[in-house]
Amino acid sequence: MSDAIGSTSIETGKRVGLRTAMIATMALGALLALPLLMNDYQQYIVNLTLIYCLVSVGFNIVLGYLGQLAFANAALFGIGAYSTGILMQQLDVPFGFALPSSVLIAAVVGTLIGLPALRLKRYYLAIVTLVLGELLRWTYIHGGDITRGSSGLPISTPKLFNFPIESEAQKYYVFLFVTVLILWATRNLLRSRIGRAWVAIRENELAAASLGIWPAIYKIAAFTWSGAVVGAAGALFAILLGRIEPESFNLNQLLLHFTFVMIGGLGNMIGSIIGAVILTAAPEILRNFPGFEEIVFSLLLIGVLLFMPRGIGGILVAYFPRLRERLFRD
Amino acid sequence: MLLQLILSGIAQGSIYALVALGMTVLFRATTIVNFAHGEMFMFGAFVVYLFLHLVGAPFFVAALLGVVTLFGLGICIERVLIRPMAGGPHIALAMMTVALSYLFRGIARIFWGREVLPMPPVFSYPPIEIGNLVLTTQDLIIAGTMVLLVIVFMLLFHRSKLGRLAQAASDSPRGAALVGINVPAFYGTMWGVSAAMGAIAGILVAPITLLYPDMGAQILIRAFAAMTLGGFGHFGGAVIGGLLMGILEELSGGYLSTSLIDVFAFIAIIVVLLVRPAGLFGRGEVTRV
Amino acid sequence: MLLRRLIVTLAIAVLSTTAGIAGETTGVTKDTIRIGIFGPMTGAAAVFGKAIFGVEALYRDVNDHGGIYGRKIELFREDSACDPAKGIAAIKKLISQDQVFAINGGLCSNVVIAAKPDIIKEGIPYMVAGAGSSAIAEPLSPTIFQPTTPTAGTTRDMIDFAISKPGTTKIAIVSHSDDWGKSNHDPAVEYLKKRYNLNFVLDLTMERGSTDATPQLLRIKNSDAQVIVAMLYPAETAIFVRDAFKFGIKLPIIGHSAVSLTDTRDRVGNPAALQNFFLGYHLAYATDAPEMKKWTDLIHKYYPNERVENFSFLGMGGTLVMIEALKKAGPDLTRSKLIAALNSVRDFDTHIQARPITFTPDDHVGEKNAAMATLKNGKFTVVKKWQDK
Repeated sequence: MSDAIGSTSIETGKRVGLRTAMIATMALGALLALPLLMNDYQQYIVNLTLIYCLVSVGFNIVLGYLGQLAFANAALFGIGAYSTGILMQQLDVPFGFALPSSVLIAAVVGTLIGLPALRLKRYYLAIVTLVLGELLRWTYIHGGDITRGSSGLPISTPKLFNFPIESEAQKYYVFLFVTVLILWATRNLLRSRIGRAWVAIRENELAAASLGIWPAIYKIAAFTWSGAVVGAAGALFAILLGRIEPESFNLNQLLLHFTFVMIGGLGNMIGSIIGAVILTAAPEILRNFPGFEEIVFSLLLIGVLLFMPRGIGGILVAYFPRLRERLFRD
Repeated sequence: MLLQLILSGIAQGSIYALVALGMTVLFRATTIVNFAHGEMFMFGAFVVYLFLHLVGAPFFVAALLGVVTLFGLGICIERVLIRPMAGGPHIALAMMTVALSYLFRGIARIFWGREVLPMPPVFSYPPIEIGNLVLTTQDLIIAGTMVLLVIVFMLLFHRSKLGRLAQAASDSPRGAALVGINVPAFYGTMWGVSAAMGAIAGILVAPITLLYPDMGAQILIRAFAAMTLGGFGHFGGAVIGGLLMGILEELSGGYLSTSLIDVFAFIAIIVVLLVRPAGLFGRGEVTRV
Repeated sequence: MLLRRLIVTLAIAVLSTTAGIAGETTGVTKDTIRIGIFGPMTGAAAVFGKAIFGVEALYRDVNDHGGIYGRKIELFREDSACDPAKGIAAIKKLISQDQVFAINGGLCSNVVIAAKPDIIKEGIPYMVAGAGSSAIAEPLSPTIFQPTTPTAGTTRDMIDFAISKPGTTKIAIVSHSDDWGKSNHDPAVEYLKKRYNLNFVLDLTMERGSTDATPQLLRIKNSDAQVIVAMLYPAETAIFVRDAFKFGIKLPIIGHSAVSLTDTRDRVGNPAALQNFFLGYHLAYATDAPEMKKWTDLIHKYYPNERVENFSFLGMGGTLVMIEALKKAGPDLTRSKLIAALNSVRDFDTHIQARPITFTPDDHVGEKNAAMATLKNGKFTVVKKWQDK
């Protein structure tokens, strides 16, 4: 990375390193100090945004990186939420254990979805996953006392090390920690051999196979990881609302998730984050323009599909070519 | 009771079959699955309602205008929204149709969002009673139209020149273009035809289901089930699949539990796709290297 | 230098957020009272959002007549879209950003219940605008008031009405299997057992979005049910009534108050099918009765393009109570005084709701029963017992 003439690479490296460290510390400081500047409402929106960032990134793994038409995101989101709810309410499992357990359960379900994905092509996979989501929703509705049906499963205040997490600010710190951790892990995964294998499979599966990549294992891995990430988001969602109901995981939700990904750009992790932020914050800013949400939303999506198929990530890349390697697995 | 359930099942199933037919036509011609087809169905009915009430046109004129309007809409959609995306990933195409479905629903909601509207039946004769069984004329018309359409399309696609054209265009667009077939125009036309079929279904079915912006979504899943059961892309399969779905739903509702009716479609789809993706009549897909 | 600036900024930030902490007089100034309004203005449940226009019209009318002790009411409206995530955001915004004095709104029970913790924590007076769940006002929250009959009450009305037909012991029930359906079905089963020591002879479901009720109706026809109770949404109710007529089933059908009678009449299209059809009804008069005209005109005064229907009046009873209580609380307005005034409402006849409203410190369910409506010779009639018909 040394491109300054006349200086040694170690010196520039040190300068760059110091600068990055300062920026990172300031960013961290800002993030940690955020609750001081926000009222309850704004903090809630920030928390919701963190959740949707996870949803968006998780969905993008299967949709963008692997390139599979798996529409199970809302279902996995629901599984994460209901697992947490049932574990905490019906089985009295503390949040500290319920969260990782839900992630695990969602990851397992993700794997199970990955299995038929090996056989089914394109639209068949889309339809099966769509239908699976609806079937799960039917189960939540008819789950009797376990899921409390449509009136919703209330979730009492979670406790972490006996410390209740009640206010939006407290939730924020927990969410921030979980989100940063998962995003960091995902980023590393995407840059690793596994991430590269995903892209190779997406581009040309047979060619990838001929290079010695066994598609099946990597495909399953993608579904598993996606399930884990989205499941974590679902668990946090349950805590945020304090109450989960089947309607929150219907096809409308799926469309929302899809729009996050498309706005950010398929196969672009930072884009997914940006997409989630925009689409969660914007409706709140535009709160009082009633009646047109569905239309604005679908027009936005159509516009993105037609004119910005690479999403915002694509636009960023056009203006900052240096980001290309960082943003795109292309 | 068994006979009545089967009869109602055939009536319900004909609705599913009619919608599935429209989707199958498009799929056969363009290999695109149109997730917005339910909205063509809904929009067709709404447009007719508009012509009936705003303009005061007689029923058949309004119906005809509705079908023609939707035909035009289909062509426009293909030209403006689908064609530019022709080379892109299938995901994007699929989601384009999903976005379209939401757009139409949103538009319908603006005009009729807060109400559910009634629609006059094609003929209003009192129900026909044969012994213990009851059948409405609307049911008969739907079933009849469905049979007519399936025969028409099967003949078109299998026997006529249009059919060979369709086969060529969908198997190999480039090859078809090379021999002088205007592939884009063909696609446009088929989108128009599919939309028109959706409109016909909507006009016939709306008196039964009543008009509301979400009426398409409900039907869509059932139509998918019908197509999946019968084998994607197979006309006869779509019809048989639809009828089977209708009958099985009614029977399980009547004898097992009414709460099963809703999930039946889901279970059917999942089971078929996992066990025998080709459905009853479809052929397996061949992956080209 | 930098450090000092940082400390000052932080201090200002902390102070400005603490300034908004909950208080007795939040939202009250010398000449304004801030009232927060919320409801499903968009989305699939937007039809219930009509109630919000009625509520707001009443407050605006108060302003046009000088306000309350010289204070004008400032309205803040937020959309819940009948979605808990959005609804919670709406409530939080009203409480912590708009800083309203009291809240009047809520048509979707799932949203109201999800928002309850925030309302309770803030201690803000809250008048429900029509959401029907029995879990809203029970267990009792000191600041939450429900002026309309909750689902437990409407189901009691329906059962009582069915039984009031002489000789009725065998009732069939059809309901949706979703939340709303269950929240009506379960209390009905319980009440029938407890009060009359009976069970439903048939317990069926009909899915939302169904276009056919054949299996359900055939089963009913083959049974010995004498009356049918239908806990269904408007479209499904119309389909059910129509199909019942198609199969020649002449049993009385009792529908839910979430359905509009005129609406069903239009959808079914055949007056003969509605001869034995009754609906739960929450108002005192038919929507087109002369007594309702003044309310219709009031809504049109401020919202001329709004089509006034059954649901437009749903929240107005509660708002009339709220306005009365605001006046009773006196010029020295605080949240506690408003609550005390609300708790002293006794037999307040709104001339909109079917029955008078009463709130006591121990009971915040203002109306325990409503009425039924039917078409008597084609005319919209309000009835309370079978014998009234």
